[in-house]
This record gives sequence, C-alpha cells and structure tokens, in this order.
Amino acid sequence: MSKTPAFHLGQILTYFILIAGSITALIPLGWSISTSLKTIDQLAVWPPQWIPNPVAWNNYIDVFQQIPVLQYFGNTMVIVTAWVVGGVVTCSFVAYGFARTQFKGRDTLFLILLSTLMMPYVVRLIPLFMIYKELGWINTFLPVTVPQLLGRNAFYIFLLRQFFIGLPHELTDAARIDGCSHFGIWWRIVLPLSKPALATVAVFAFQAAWDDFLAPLVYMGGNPDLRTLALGLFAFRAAPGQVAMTHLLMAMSVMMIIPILLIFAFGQRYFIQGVTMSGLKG
Amino acid sequence: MRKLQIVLLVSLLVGLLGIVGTVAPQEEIVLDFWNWWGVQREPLMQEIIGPFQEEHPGVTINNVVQGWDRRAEVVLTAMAGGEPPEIMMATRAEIVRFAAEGLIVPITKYVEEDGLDLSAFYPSEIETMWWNGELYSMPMPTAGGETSFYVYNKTLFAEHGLDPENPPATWQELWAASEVLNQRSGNVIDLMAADIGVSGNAFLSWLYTNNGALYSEDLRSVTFNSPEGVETLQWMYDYVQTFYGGVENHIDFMAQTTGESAENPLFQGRQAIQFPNVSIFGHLATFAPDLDYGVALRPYNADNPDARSQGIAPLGFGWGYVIPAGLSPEAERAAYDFVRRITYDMGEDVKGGCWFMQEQARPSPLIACNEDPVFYELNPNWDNVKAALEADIALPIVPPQSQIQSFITEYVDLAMFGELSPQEALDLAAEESQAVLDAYWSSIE
Amino acid sequence: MSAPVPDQRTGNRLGGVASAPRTAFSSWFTGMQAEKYIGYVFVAPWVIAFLCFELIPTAAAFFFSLTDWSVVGQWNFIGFANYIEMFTRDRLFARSVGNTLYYVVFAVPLNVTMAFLLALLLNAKVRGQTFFRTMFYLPALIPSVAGAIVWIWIFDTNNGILNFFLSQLGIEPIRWLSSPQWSKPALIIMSLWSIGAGMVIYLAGLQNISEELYEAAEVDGANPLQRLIHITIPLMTPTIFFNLILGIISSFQVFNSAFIMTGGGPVNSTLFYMLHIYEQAFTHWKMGYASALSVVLFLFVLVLTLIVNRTSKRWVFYG
Repeated sequence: MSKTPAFHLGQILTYFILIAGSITALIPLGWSISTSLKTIDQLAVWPPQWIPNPVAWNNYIDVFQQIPVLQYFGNTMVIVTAWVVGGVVTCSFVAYGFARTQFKGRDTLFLILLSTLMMPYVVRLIPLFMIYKELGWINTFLPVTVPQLLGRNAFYIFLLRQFFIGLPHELTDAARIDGCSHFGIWWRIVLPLSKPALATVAVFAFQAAWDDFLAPLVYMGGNPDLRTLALGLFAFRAAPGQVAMTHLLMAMSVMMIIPILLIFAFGQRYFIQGVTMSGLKG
Repeated sequence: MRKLQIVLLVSLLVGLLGIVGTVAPQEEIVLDFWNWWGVQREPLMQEIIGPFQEEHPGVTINNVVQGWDRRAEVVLTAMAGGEPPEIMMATRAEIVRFAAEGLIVPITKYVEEDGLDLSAFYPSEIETMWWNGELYSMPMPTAGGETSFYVYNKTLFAEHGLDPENPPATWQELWAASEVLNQRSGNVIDLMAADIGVSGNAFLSWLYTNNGALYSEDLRSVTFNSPEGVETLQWMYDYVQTFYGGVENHIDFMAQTTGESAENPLFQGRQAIQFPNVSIFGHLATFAPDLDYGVALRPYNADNPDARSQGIAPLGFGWGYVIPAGLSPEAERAAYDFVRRITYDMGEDVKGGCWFMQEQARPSPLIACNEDPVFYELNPNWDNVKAALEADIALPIVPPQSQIQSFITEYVDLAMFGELSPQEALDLAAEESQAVLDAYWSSIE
Repeated sequence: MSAPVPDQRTGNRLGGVASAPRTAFSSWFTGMQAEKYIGYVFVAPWVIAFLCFELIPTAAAFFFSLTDWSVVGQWNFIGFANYIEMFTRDRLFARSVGNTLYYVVFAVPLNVTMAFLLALLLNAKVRGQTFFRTMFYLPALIPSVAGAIVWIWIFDTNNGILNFFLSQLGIEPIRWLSSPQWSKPALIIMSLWSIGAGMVIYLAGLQNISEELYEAAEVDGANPLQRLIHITIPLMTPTIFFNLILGIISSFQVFNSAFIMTGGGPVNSTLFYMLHIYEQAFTHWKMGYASALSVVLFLFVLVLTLIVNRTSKRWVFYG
C-alpha cells in the first residue's frame, strides 16, 4: 500500500478525534478522582476546584477503616464468579441451542427469552422475593448466584446467539459430516472461534455483578456479613441527618473501577483480528 | 403384630421428641434491628446495645444499618414478602399503613404493664404513634423540630444593619430583612437572604403559619386550598420572584448542597437564614463551630389575626420502631424492651434514646431530656429550640397521604414555574386529593 | 434467520471418518432421532431458570394488574379498572409516556450509531488501540451513585464544566437540570458517555470479519468507503440488530439517571415511565396499578420488538 499524503491526513484526523474524544470521555472520571482526593471541608469550596489543596491521599486508606472492604470484596467475588461462569459457560451453551440447533418452538422460545427483558423489575420484585423465601434462600448467596449459573441472563444469551449465527457454516458442517456431536461442535469449534464474544460476555458479566446493588440489597440485605462492595458505597451516601462523605464515596468508586479495567485490558488480547479466522484457510 | 409394635414404638418416640422439642426452653433470642443510624451514629447505637444485652441475657441484637438509597424497596419487600426484621425503624406513614393491615403488633399492653408515663413525651411526638386506639411505637428522634424554627447568621445580620437579637418573627419582617440581606446579580444568587423553600413541603410548612390546615378536623376533606392557602402560595411565589429571580435560580443555588455537610451555604456564609431540621446543630458543631448563629421560630403572617408560629410534626419522617406480627411471646417482649430502651429510657448512667440524642446535640422527644444542662453548653440558643418543639402540632396522617402530598408537590411546582396561578394550582391539587381521600374513606366504610 | 442444517440423510455415517470419541453417550447425541431433541438439552438450563424465577413473577404482574393490591393489604379483583384509570384519569401516565418516547427517539439512534462509529475508529490500525478502547469504555464503569454526583456537577448552571465550554463558544449558560426544556437533553447527553459498552460489542463483531474479504476487495479496487458499505456494514448487521433491540428495550426502561439526579423533575419533565411505575409501587404502594403500567410497557415493547424483528429479515444478513 502506497502512503499518499491524504493517507497521513486521515491518520492525523483519526488520532485527533481519538485524543479529543478520550479527554471528553474522561471528564467524569477526572472529577471523581479530584473529589476523591479532597478533605471533607474542601468539598464545600465555592466555586468547585479541580486540584485539591491539600491532596488527601489518606482518603483511600480511610475507606478501609470505615467499611470492611476486604470482606465485601470476598462477597462480591463470589457473585462475580457465578455471573462470569454462568455467562461464559451456561449462556453460550444455551445460545448454541438457539443458534445452531433445530427444534420445535425454537423461535417462539427465543422470543419468550427476549420478552423476559421487557417486564420491569419493580413488579417482579416482591413475587420473586416470595419465591426465594419459600426456597429458604433469603439472606444467603443463592438468589444472586444460582439463577446466573443456570443461565438466567437473556442479554448474554442474545448476544452470543447473534454471534454464533454469524459464524460460517463450513467448519461446523464439516464436523457434522464427520459425525461430531452438537456438544462437540459447541465445545471444540464454536467456543474457540467465539473468543471475542466470550471475552465481551466475561467483561460485561464481571462488571454487572461487580456493580449490582439491587439484588444483593433486597435478597441479602438482612445479613450485613454478605454485603458487597456496591452496597458498601451506600455507607458514604447522604441520608437525612447523616454526614455525606462524598470524598470517600469517590475514592471507593475509583478503586472499584480498577479491577474491571484490568479485566478489560487483559481481555483485549481476544479482540485481535485475524486470530479467530485462521481455521478457514486451506 | 411385630410390625404394628414397631410402628407404635416409633410413633411414641416421635411424639415424645416433639413434646421435648416444644418444651425445651428457648436458649437464645436473636433480634435483627434494621435502622438508618449510619456513619457516626453507628458506634453510639452499639454503646446502647452493649449494656442492653448484658441486662437481658439470652437476647442478642443485630444492629443492621441499611443504606438510605432504595429504602422503600428494602422495607416493602421485607414486610410484604414476609421476612421482616424483629425491630424495624419506620416512618410514621409506614407505621400507619402497617398497623392498618395488621402487619405490626401494638405495644399498648407492654407500656401499661411497665407503667410508662407517656406524658414524658411532647404531645405532638407521641400522638403520632397511635392508630385506632392502639400504640405502635415510641418516637426517637423528634418528629418535631422539622419545620418550626430557623437558624440565622448573627454576624451577617450585624453587618447589614439588622439587630442580631431581634430576628424576624413575621412574614412581613422576613421580607423586610430579606430586602437588606439578599444579594443577587442577574441569575446568580451571591447571598441568599433566606431559603423559604419552593416545594410542596415548604408550602405546607408555611400554610400552618397562616392558620391554614391540610385536612379538616374530621379528616374527610382537604382544606389546603382555602383562602389562607392561596395567600400562602402567592406570598411564596412573590418572594421567589423578588429575591431569587425565579425558581430556576433557586434550584441552581441549591444544586451543590446536601445540607448535612460542609457544602451547606449557611456554613459558608452564603446564606443568612435557613429552615433546617434539628440535626443541624450537630452539623454546625462539626463544620462551622465558629459561626455565631441564633435560633428563632418560623415567622407567621402578621396580617392574619389567627396566625401564629407553629410547625408540623412530622412532615417527612417521624421515626418509630415497629415489631412485626408473628414473633414468639418471648421475642416480642424482648423486642419491646429494646424499643423502650432506645425511646423512653433515660436517666443517670442509662444509655438510651435520650443519651443517643444528646450525643448528637439533637433535642429529644422526651421533655425532661431537653432540660439537661449539656444542651445549653453546646448551644446557647437552646431555649429557642425547646420553644420550637413546643410550637409543633401533630400533622394528621391518613393512608393515602403520599398521593396527596405528591399532588401538592406537583401543583406547587407548576405554580412556582409560573404555569398556573396559585389559586388554580391549589384547586386542581385539592380536586385530585379529595378524590383519593373520598375513595379511601368509602373503601373502609 | 435460521441456519441451514446439514442434510440428515448424509449425516448418519457412524462408520465414517471419526473425529469425535465413539462412546455410547455420544452415539445418542449423533443419532438421527436425537437431532430433533438435542436443542432442548441445550436450552434446558435457561428453561429451568425461566420456569423457576421468571414465569411466576411475570404472571403475577399480569394477575395483580387486575387487582387493587397495595403491597401490604388485602387485594380485591377490580377487573380492568387500573387500565381505565391509566388512560383516562392519570395525567402523569400521558406525561411519562411522552417523556420516555422523547428519550428513546433521540437516545437510541445516537447511541447505536455513535458506538458503531467509535468501534470502526478503534478497529483501524492505530497505535495505542488498547489504550483508547479502555479510555472510551471507562465512563461506563463508574458506579451510578458516584456518577450521578459527578454529572450534577458537570451540568451545574453556573459552575459546571459543560456551560464553561459553551461559554468559550459564546453561548449563554443553559439551565441543564433546572429547566423543564433542557432536563431531558441533559440526560440524553449523559447517556452518550456509556456508549463504551456498545462499542465493545461492535468490536467483538468486527473481529469476525475476515481480513481476506477486505484484501480481496482492495485488490478489486474498492476504496475504504466502499469497503465499509459493502463488507463491514452488511456483515455487522446481526450485531447492529442486537444493539438496536437491546437499546430499545433498555431505553424504554430508563430509570437510574432520573431517579438519582432529578427525581422526575423539574415539573415532571424527566418523569420517565419506569420512574412513574416505581413511584406508584414504592411511594404510594399502589402495586396493582403499577402492575398494570408494567403490563402496558411490556406489551408495547414486545410489539415493537416483533416489528423490528420482522423488518430485520430484510436487512440483517446472517451469512
């Protein structure tokens, strides 16, 4: 490919847009970090300042003294594991069924799957609570892990199903002709080919479980030992008569971003083009 | 025959085990206590729980402090779903509704057994805990002190030529003082003379200082759109236009504040008069210890001969502590004992509700508690605070209250934004509120 | 929409070249009869979860919409009274529908297209790809409680950074959160900061387009724009379809931003449908009525999804 001057211009423009866009995208985070480094009376400075003076690095330590962060972290990881395993394994399993097998009522069932995303949680909350209560699951980890492990996540199933449908049939056809079972196709062919989609699901599942507060609040709220990090944030929120520790709230939020960021950056290696399609050559 | 003997023997054994099981004494009573006393209040609560557990061996209290966000979902799901905690901190509106449906137990009989003297509480405080002839809780903290007083910056008063010892007592005096104090450049309020509030709750607070009322005596009709009500809303609107330049400027001014923190404009010297609730004193001590402030009663309308300073209790909350139905007699008794400890108990060396309030420099719903000299040390204005509590009257609550208040909020908003006249707004709100109220009364009759 | 399945008659070659272990178990999996039922095995976990945790709550919503259930009380059958009240007496119903439609009409197309453009940009061979992708995904990671505080500051009329930039361009301060006209646009703008998630999904889809196709097209003389229109977009239609459907479903349920930041105001200008449902259910304890509202939303979104799905047969290309 010859590099014409126009080509250079396109690159410069691209970089410009990316850099400008990044800065814009980072404004909310920048303000969060700035607030997280302020002392409590600095929050009141009017008009609001970007650079705190003095810089309160100790906020990040204070968070650990205010709430049992490590315990909450452990609890959160239990839920996160269930979500990620459920998403990557069970949801891909179910998605394969919708994408690559034929059975009666498949498309209707898929529509039912989609429709589960459409009923607002508000009116399902209490009946679902009663179901969990009958099962004796209230104030345990079960309501926030078992359904996920069973694949109760239409979002990921839908995502993976779209992806699987788009996979070329030549490979799977060849395997079928060779007598490979559907299970084998799923495990040996479709999954390895779907690394970008699976990485996406893993990252999304991690983030959803990490930040989810409603389910832990309602179903496990009576047991403070099971609290997650997202619930820990609530301790710093303003409540009537209560001091709002916004600086600690921001410090904790910033810290909570880091693990997801690492997972995301780590998962980027599955987003390299070309690796996944090598099976088609020859 | 052999089979029959075995069956009989087994049934006998099972029966015996069953009897033994029920007769065996309850070793441990564990009570979950859901409350919203978070952050700096949590260790205080632990100091109450400790001695209580020592005095009541076999009883354990779990102090489950919840986050404030999404409180409604947590509380309603627990109560409706059938897994409520043994002691729950509830608002007065919730208490009324839970009681009406029989989800919580009255404590009248325990109070009588213990021989408690309920006149130890301010009338407006304890009145709010009765429903249909039964008592369901006792108050802590105060329901009052929410709308009955204001705090003002004496230094700012002096700087602007106003007498710091003679703060405004009437609407008219407040207006005059605001003309001197208020500083606004265009749309930006540099110094807010007074935050009179622009919401439906603010309207109700001012309504009662104009001899208006939310309901009629028999609670069958809404009366807030009376001439007094319209006059009140008109006065509020005129104030907002004159001193804020429109309700939008008020929203912008308040955007960065939450009140209970260093961002409070009163603490920063950007506001002269504020109408807070009683938790302000603790925050003043923490964030603005050098502020020279005074306390006075909410101004009343001098043009109305029947008007006087009074607050309503509660407007927002009115916290009580309720016990759900379905507990064993021992657990229920223990739960009541704890409720009594955090509300009624006071005295030398007793860490109960009174002590809890004193530690936060907040007044207590117990009259005698507020006589303690420690309050006077913390707050030279203490006499005025007590006067404010005495000026509170109990706001009646009916189950559809939340809907009526939301109609008032909605239409007051529209009036403030200039889309409706005060008369139109209140009449429309009254129409809808009356419909809801009528529906409620006809459903129980 | 359905993938062609290999001819069953030629698939049954138990004696042929083996690439899978020959156990009795797998034989069952590959038998001709099994082909009809194997799909059920695959979807079974989800079906179990559905029957246990979705079916009853959803049916309960339909059921209670016909009652006056007040969460903690006895409920009575009132037939369709809730639905009648909704359409005749509830002013806020019409208001919330209008607000939500406004939001959906702007937010969905903006989000779907901008995420796509961003993904295209970040799929090109630029240096620091991972870095930039992370930067754009970051805003979506801020917990909502913290994010709300930050955005209230960004939108502040007198000191917010957005009005600061606008003032550099000579524009008067806009009352983002304190006026009924600008509150919805403010929330729509805020939603754009979360396009990182959609971008990630598009990126995953883009990985699957073979380099060979692009190379072949270049050889044939196609310029970048033509490659975009004739290769990228058609092959991305399944992913676009996904983002579109999900965008519709989730923006009709927009809730968090209004709940935390504006409380539905000013003057109910940000009272979205979900917020209306929430208030009816948890503030006024009118769960029966809230159920009726939910059923209406459910049916509306379902019908809309079906329509989009039907049209998708014409523009979604499943290769």
